[in-house]
Amino acid sequence: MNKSLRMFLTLMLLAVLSVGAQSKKKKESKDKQEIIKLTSKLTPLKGSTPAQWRVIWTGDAAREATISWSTAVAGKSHKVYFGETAKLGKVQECQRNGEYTQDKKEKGKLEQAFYHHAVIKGLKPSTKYHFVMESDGTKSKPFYFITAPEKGTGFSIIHGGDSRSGHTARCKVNVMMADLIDKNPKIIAFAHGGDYIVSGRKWQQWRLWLSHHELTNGKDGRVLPIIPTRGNHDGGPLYKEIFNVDPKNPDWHTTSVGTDVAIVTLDTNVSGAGKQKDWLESELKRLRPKSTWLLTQYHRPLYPAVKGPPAHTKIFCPVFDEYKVDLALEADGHCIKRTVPIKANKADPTGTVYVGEGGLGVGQRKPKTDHWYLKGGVTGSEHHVMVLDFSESALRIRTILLNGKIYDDHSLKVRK
Amino acid sequence: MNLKIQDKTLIVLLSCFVFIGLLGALKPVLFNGGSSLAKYFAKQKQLEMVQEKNVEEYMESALFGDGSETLEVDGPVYSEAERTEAINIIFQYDSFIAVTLFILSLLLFVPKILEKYHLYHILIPISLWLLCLSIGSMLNGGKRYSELAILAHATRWGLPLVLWLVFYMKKKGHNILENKVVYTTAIICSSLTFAVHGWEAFNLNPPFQDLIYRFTSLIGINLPESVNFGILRAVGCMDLVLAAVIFFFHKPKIFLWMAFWGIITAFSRPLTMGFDAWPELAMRIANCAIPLGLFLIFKTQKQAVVEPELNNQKMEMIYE
Repeated sequence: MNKSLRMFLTLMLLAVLSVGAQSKKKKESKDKQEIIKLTSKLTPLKGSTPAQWRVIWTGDAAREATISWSTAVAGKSHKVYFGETAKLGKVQECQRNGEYTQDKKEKGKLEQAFYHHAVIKGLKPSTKYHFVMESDGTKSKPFYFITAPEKGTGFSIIHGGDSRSGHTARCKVNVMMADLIDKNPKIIAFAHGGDYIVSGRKWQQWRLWLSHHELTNGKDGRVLPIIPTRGNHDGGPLYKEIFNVDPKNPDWHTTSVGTDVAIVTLDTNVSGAGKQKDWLESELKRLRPKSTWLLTQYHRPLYPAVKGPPAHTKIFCPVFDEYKVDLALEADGHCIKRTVPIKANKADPTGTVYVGEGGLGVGQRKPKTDHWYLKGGVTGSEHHVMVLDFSESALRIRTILLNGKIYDDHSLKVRK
Repeated sequence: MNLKIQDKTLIVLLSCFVFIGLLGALKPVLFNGGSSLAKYFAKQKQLEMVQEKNVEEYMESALFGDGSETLEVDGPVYSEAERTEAINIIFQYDSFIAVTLFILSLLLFVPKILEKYHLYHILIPISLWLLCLSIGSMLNGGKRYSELAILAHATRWGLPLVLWLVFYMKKKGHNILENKVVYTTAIICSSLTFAVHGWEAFNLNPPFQDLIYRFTSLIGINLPESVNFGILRAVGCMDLVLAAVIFFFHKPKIFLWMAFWGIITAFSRPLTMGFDAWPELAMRIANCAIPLGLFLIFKTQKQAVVEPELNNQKMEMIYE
């Protein structure tokens, strides 16, 4: 080969390699800057400064909510000021305060942290509530949330699950949720399908999740109320301390988003039969006649796209069929899934549609596409959230990816 | 019951059970997203590729005052496609190992070849692989008592080990029906599994509650919670007692009961969860297989002691 040609080819190769290295370096630097920028937005857990705030819905979302936060010191006085205007006007002392339980191995190594829960009742439906948290005289920034309507639809809820690992991706999904609520004020809540962290007994993991949750806030200070579900990785006392569940009570609950939409949250970590099934039956029996849209939410998928089905499938599904549940929100599989409508373990247009499987940051898995219930449905493996748009005639389910693309857009018609 | 078995019978029986157990473990690996260990490695790889630890340390420092003050970025930054490819490779290896072991396990049906060409050593990788699945379950967590998975699954990975010992001792010229190493290993494995399951039952492990609820509802009984809990605690006590007793009393009847209980609990899965749950049964077949093997061993040993005595008595009668 000609000497000059060889030289030319060598130079070309070097140029290509150098461009490749440059682009990697740029990407590396971009990612690093993004993480630093995101971290700077979060509130350090220091002294009595209220941090890690969240609004929790587990009951009548039109009239009550729990405003919760963390501090690094126990403090003496914790209250929330709230009202329909930025002037606030009302005050509620925290009814429940305590120290977050640390794992045996964490004690002595991690700083203590404390939770504060203020349950506020008697709220007006469809109303913007401003609030400021205060611990021992240190006030938070002003925030607000919107209560659910008294009746009717015309609002949206975000659903997602599995934020247990992949901190960068988790933060990015949270930022995406914040963008979504900025663009769409009709989104009023965030139903989390569980598996917030890897090991539910580790405060070290929860504290990071709680801080990252701040990223879901809108630019104007809007906080998206969270409807929590316990996942299989969320074992231990911290879940109840974080979401203000009485230690004596089970983790299943009903969130009434007005009179027309109800979300019945179940717990797939405990026995499905027995007390939980009895409770589920009584709740669905009570809610079905008055609900335009009846949803269930739980962690382990009853019609899974990745794993095998749990024992709960045989217990819960006949009850869903009997009371014509419209949509079941699932997580755990780390993928995207929408089944065909299912009734009596068969494809049936009058049956329940099962969606979800979780992509709030956790590494995605490959779904098994040849299940009968997925033929005619949708599967995928990307980080995502599902936006549920409720109207009188239809329930639209959009699966939105991190890049903003809509992966799946499906509508359920209202039952006659 | 007059029962006397040959070495071969025991080998064929245990081989069948090893094959069934392996089949049960293979199904989720090939059709339900990979083995527990592959899932663990995939998760670790994914976190390593996104430099989770560095990000975590930096954020912890900024938010909670511990960790690293600067965000270290070491190694290359991988794209989503590169990460997916790396994960796929892990699952490909996983499937390859599972399929290879399955093919090798077919040799279990030709014990003569296994013995002649020393191919019984394939039981060691089978046992190790099943042990790895238990380690994977333990590392992944997310289930109650997952930290006890290695002990709870002792019969699963122990069964191929016991069968390997049977072949090995036989090759060395030992009488396998009287070999202490063989039956002690089997007793340890059985005891561990019964002890952990007993502990879980005594502590009312929710999946066990559902098995009882589902079973009783199938026969039309709406079981109150208190009765369910009572049954579970009783079962738990029984399992714990059995786990301890078998170290001191090698009574065939005890092992027969354990084998019966093992098969009942294994069958309870597909019975209450539907036929799709057959791998759950297959995986638990070892809970029956090892006690059954022990029953056969000790029954034969007992008869070997009793029969010479009977023969002597007969002889004495003839002379009289």
